[in-house]
Amino acid sequence: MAEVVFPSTLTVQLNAYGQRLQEEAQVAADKATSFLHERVVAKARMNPEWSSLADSIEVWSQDGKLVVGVRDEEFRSQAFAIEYGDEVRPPTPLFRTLTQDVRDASAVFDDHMTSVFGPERLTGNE
Amino acid sequence: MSDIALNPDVYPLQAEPDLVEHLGFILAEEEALKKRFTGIKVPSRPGYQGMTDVGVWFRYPEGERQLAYPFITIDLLTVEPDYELFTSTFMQDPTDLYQPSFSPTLPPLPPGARGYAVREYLPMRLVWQVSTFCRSALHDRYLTSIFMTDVLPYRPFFIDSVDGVARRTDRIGFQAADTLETTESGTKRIFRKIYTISMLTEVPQNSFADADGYSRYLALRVLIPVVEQAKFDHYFQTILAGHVDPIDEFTAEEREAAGEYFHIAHEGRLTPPAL
Repeated sequence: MAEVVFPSTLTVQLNAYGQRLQEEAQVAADKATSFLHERVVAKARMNPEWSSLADSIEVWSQDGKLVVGVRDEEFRSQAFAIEYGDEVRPPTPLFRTLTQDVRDASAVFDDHMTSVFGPERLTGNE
Repeated sequence: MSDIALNPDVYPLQAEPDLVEHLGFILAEEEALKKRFTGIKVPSRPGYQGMTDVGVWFRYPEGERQLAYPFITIDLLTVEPDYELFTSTFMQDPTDLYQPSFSPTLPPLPPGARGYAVREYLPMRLVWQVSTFCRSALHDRYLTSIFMTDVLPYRPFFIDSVDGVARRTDRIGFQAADTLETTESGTKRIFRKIYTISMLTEVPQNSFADADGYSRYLALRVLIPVVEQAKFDHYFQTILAGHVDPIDEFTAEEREAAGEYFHIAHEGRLTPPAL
């Protein structure tokens, strides 16, 4: 029967690495969130329909997902009418046209992790 | 007839839209989308055989138009590049079908050329908002039901475009947005459902990548080093990082000193297009 023995130092190192990974992932997520928020607010400010609501746009975490939108009850129905339009106004989509912005935010996350842990690489043993 | 000459920086157009046949980028896709919704009917009343036509409009009908419920509106929300699907060029087999549909033929290959480097289509996504407006709950639920099952199903589906290409389409959102309409006779309940859909399409490219109009042999210059894992970081920083061509920049001895103990190299040779 084969027996695999790990040195205790390896376990300590692994735990430390996992801890650092978690901490840096949180920092990266915060950076990505801020980036996305700034990008969406900037877009809203440039749009005449959305400009008055730009400061009400928030990014928050809900059920493990990142949500970008207007949380303030006072402005929510107004934002809904702008986003989807009504019989008077055509739709002016903001939150449904963020595909590239979300990708860019994801790149911000990746850049941070790469700057801390180095680029992904393949070696013969992986 | 206008006296202003056509702008030579713009004309001739790459793929001029045809307003009669509804062909061209966006027009063909939108026409196909309208056809998808045209001819939908709802039962006039439960238990009766009569059916009511469901009208289709681009944008909300103007105020002076008599509204006949139920109806469907189509709003183009955005046209955005799908960068994840972008590629630069591909090698066109001269014996195979030339893919951009506006030019089915290829010029004859120059002597010695092996094929054409063709600019790849630019994949784009068109995003629309499709809304259903009903005055009765039954019509609203009927339409919502068939939209979910048949008209805009959950799984990605294909819509045959009028240019003969099947376009992949995805429903990416659904939103109930019931509202009120104020008229001279009072306030009406309007049942409104909103679908956001995305259709994959592309901007065709009509020029070859090579300035001379035909391809060149793609020369390869490849170095595959074998390095001990323990020395990999040092080797990477010394030889690979920031160096475009390690074969030219370092001798084999220098690479070995940095950790490389075996390599496979392929030297290519650039060939002028005319040869």
